[in-house]
Amino acid sequence: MQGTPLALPHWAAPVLAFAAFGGLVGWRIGASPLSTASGLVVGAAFAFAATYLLVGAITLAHPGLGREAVLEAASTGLLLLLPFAVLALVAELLLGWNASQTFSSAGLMTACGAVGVEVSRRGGGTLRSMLVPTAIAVALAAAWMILSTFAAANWKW
Amino acid sequence: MASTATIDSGTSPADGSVGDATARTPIERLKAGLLIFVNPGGALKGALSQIPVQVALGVSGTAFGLFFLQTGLDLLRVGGQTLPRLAMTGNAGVAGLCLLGVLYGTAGVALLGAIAWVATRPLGATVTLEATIRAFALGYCPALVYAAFGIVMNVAFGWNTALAFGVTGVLWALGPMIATLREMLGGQIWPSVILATILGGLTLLGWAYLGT
Repeated sequence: MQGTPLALPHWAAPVLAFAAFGGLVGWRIGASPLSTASGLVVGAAFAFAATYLLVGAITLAHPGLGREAVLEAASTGLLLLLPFAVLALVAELLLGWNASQTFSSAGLMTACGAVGVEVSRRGGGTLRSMLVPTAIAVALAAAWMILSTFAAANWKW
Repeated sequence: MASTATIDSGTSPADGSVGDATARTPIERLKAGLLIFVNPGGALKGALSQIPVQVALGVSGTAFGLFFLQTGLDLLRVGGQTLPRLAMTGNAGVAGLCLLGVLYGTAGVALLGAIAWVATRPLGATVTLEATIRAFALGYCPALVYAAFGIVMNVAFGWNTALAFGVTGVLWALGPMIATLREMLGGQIWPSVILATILGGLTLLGWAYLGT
């Protein structure tokens, strides 16, 4: 990554961020270590799968770009999830808001948009570079919302 | 330094930026403005860098004014138990909160830009204070759109929209903020992310303290 002293694997930032989002959902459900840990694991697994879906879709949409360039774009753009995760923790734990969905959705849209910008910088067409990550972000935000709402309604700890 | 040149002069490097410093017609300027949604850093280097800082602060001031107005309307609807002061003063309290939002969106965002400017100096940024404040203020363009939608829903349907639309809008400003910081720091992503987290946290805590 350009100018980056600490290069993380492309899945690290989303896994960390969604572990936090999932942990918050689990904590809201049961306020117990078990429910929080379960949410944390589910969030991390969701993010891991979501990252590969995003990378796969971008690679398919830009066959000439090369997987290495796509992975580099993903690892840079998806770092933008981290501020949203930290702010969600502050909002929930310090301010007492029940708003982690807001932070996760906005974070996904912003981070996937940033991945699109990075793909564009590496030679993808502007429109195609933006459309694919945005479409994936909308689908992922909806999937995460459904998953966490389902968990809140059905998980009993 | 490259970052100074790009932000201040509006030159458009071949880095995927989409801003157009030559945009002259209203349609071209509108297009350049809308591009902040898809490529905030790039758009800030283009036509938007020509906008006076007062106009830019007008964008963030209006966004926060509408955001705080929604907060006031929500609290008024929920009842006096949440904020007795507001319930006692009623509509005047809501208007006062809206004005507080305008102040927060102008003086507060200018202060935020100044903090970022000071914090990035030791990291090698040479961008002017004015350019930094303008870039930060224009980063609230998406927040303004969200706040405008939110106030329509709030008034027309009686929904409580401060969290759903207001906070979402403010969160959307994080993307442009990180893009701006990256431009200022010559592409360094980690300092940009860390600084944006701190500045975003300050923004949220400020709203939580003043608006609720």
